[in-house]
Amino acid sequence: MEQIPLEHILLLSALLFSIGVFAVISKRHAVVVLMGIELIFNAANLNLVAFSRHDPALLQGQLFSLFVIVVAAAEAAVALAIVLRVYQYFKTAHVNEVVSADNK
Amino acid sequence: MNEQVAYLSQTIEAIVAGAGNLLPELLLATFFLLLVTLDLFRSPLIKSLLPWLALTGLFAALLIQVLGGYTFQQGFFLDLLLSDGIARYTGILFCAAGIFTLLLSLLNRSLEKLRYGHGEYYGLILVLVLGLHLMAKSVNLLMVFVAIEVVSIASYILTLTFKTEERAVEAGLKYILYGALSAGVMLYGMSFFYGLTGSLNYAVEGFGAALLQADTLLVTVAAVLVFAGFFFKIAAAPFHFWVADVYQGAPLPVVALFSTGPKIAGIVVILRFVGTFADPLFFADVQFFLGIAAIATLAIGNFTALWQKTPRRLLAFSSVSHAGFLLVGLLAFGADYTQSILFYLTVLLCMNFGIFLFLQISEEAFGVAKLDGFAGLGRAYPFIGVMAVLYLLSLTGLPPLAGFMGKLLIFSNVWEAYSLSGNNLLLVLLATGILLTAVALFYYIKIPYNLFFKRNFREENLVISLSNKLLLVLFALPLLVFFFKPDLLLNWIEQLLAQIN
Repeated sequence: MEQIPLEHILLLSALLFSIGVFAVISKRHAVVVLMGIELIFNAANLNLVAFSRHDPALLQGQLFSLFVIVVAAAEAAVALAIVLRVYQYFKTAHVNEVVSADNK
Repeated sequence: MNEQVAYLSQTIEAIVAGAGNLLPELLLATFFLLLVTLDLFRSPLIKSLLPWLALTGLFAALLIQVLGGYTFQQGFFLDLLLSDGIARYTGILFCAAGIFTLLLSLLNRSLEKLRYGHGEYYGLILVLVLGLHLMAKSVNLLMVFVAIEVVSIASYILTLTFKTEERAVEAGLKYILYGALSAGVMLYGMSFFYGLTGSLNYAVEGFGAALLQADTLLVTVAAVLVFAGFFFKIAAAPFHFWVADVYQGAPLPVVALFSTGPKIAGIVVILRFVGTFADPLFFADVQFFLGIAAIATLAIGNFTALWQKTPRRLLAFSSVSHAGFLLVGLLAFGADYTQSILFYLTVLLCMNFGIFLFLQISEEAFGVAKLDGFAGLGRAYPFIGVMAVLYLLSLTGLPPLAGFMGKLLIFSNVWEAYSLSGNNLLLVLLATGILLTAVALFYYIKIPYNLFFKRNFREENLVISLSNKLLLVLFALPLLVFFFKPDLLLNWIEQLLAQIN
């Protein structure tokens, strides 16, 4: 079976990473920012899995990406809980409108 | 099949053999689980015991590491963790930081008023300390990532201890967005290191050797990405934006822990990682980047602190500037630089807990929220005022306090490294560091100025509890002792480093 060349995967992951960073920088909604961060994590995962194919010790990268998925899920759980709190208090989830009274 | 069984039994043997070195971590984890389980009971007696249980766990982990009673051997644990003198010494610091945090929490009245969530609060402090231990020990990209995330997630939740306060919620959101972003960026960089070297363990020879053969540009980019995650943890520029809001919103004991624990652990992680980039010719770009980051951190920390109106924000930027000094120290690759960085970190631990305790007393007893709220407080309560001045002088780095010795050691190391290598970057770093220490004087002096030279303080004859006063003295003692006898600490550090190596 013919394998997908490494360069293609790296390009794809670089694209994912850039889209993620762009979303974080340009979007104001906290949930969309979190989606962008998720894309960055997945770009890294893709890299790890792709490199893992050429690893003499094998599977280290795949193992790493499994850990990343778990950690990212934990982080997303906490982040969404915080976003819910934010919405309760500020009635908005737009990052630039979340400014408490003492910081104005 | 047989091969796999042999491999499995080998791995299990390695785990059993290495478990002795992980005793402090295992203890902390056990106490955390115990705490979470006991928290399920509704009895108020059990609830009131929870902080003491956490304290017991931390004391046990501290004693184990100070006495070294368990079979401490230098060595790798499954290619993931490295137990050595640095890990053991910083482990002691982390346990001390955890204990100090709990003591401050016990004296904190707003935490007392908290209706629920006590068990989680103490449990998360244990988890944070556990994560710090793992950070300081890890030599593997996977382990560093997991350890940093353990510390980060615990920190996010601790920031929101006062869930009903707007500023805590705001701080939590900013913290987790910056945190998750920098973790993602770091991970992307790590994936390139894995691709370039084929190894996740960066303490082995092969890792550095493989990097020397790789494309310089790619290595530099990957290193910059990875340092983004590390810089977030030590609050260095340009990943310091969360600091001011988090310091404003989190409970003070937790802020004191944030300003010391993750900083110490992050510096140790960088210390281990940066060793790979010590070659001045090949990794000139990486070193240049670190130098620029150190200068930026120093400048941003010190100059932004000048404009701050609240003591919490002022201390937030002061902690950014301390991260800058530590980065300067890290660039002076040499034989002694580990000792002086560990010395500085120890002093930082005492100074920060002292000043945050002072802040907690003045917030809770006197309702100070802004810098001018301190006006005349020092005249009415000279003991507290004098202690505050002591801590602030030490933070500035003036004699006769240990903060001065810490800066002196770091600067002399940089000078030595400069005279050996003639690297101009080091000279620039040295000059910036010394100049900005002078700037630091201007903002630190605001608090003593308000304390003693202004008067409009309402005399209320509030009594400051003895335990608060005792703790204030406890944090100040090392600052005086280590100024006059820095050798006491340095020798101990050296002994710990040498004993095992």
